[in-house]
Amino acid sequence: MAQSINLVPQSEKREQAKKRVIRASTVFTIFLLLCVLGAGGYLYYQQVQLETQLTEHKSNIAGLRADINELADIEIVARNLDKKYKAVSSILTSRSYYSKLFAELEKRVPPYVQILDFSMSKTSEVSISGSGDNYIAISSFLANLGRPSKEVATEGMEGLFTDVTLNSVQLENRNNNVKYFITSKYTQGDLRK
Amino acid sequence: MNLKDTAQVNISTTAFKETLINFLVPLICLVITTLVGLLWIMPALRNLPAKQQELAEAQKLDNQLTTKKAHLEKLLDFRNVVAEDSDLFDKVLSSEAKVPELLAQINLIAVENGLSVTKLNYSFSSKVAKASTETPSANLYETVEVSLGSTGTYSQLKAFLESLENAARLITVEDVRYTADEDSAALNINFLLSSPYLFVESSAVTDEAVTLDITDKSFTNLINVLKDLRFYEVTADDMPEIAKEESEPSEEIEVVEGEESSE
Repeated sequence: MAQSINLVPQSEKREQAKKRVIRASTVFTIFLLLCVLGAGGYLYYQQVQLETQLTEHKSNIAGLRADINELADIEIVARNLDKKYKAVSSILTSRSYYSKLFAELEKRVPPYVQILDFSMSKTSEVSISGSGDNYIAISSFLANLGRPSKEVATEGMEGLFTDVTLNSVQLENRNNNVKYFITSKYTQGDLRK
Repeated sequence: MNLKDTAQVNISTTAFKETLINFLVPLICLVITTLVGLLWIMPALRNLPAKQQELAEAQKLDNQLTTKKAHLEKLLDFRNVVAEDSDLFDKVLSSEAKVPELLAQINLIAVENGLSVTKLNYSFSSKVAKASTETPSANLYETVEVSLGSTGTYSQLKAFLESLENAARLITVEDVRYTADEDSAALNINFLLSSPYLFVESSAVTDEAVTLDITDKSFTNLINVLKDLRFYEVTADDMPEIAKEESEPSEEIEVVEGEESSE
């Protein structure tokens, strides 16, 4: 039977193994070094790019600041105008146009009803007192305020008066007139443009 | 025995030297790798985000200033329009209280609409506008409150309110009360009015953007609204004689300056 006989001595085998290890470690460390140098080079390139761009932007910024400083006069005028514009805009947006309320109220008052006292409160409430020829007239006034028909109310202002309450009503014996006192809330939004 | 020990020491020194020589290149490579990593790569990686952030901020500022410069140059090209608009806003929202002129204007509007003025008082208060989110403090304005007593009809009352709402300088109606007699159409009407004024004194801030755009639609719409208001060119000399009611203590009309005090 044929058998392979290894005639290489042990010392030679150890020598060959040692050489393989040396070669492998050399190759690996050189490869590692090349990778690290490559990464370092890439980072260096990045930094140089960043520095170049930063320097360019800083130079632009310095030039722009100088130009803008020369336009200081118009900037001050623009800022002043901007402040007034914002203030006027907010005033007109939040302003209530009470001429609309009085125009609408006039339409809602039926014949034979008189308003003798009118006042408003800061909580969007009106107090109306006066007299009418009879209870039907007062009732009609209440209905016109709270649930107006299309003929009575201006389009879009139907909901102007809400929570209409007849607080008191009494007959005056002297002239058979009916005195009334009504409170109602009004919708601020309907009085704005 | 000494010779044997010496031979052994000599063998291990030789083996060490031999190993060192065999692994010289890998060792050098490792040392250089470590030095590059510790002294260059790690510091660079630590500083990179900060540098990128700095660049992003510089870029943003550059763009902002470029936009601002273009904006200011555009405003400079339209400086006549800007000056006109500034004058318009100054008339609508006065820089000072100018109480005599205000009272004269209110009196004139009342008389034009047929009301008879019986009382005209004023006082000062501070109000804050419904501020924008940007600079709320910029919208803080002062107001002059005017208490007006008058007599007239309901139609005159309505007309007076409409005229006030269309008047420049701006006047806001805060409160209206009236009483009437059963036998006559005349009403005793009391108004509480307020007129804002705003003193502006800005300074140029180089890095801060200017937000005003005179070509913006909402700005031009507002300009058109303001131009439609009625401007009353009154002076203190136009103030007519009126009957002063001796009511609760309050500041009365005086043409003499320096009498203003805040509430």
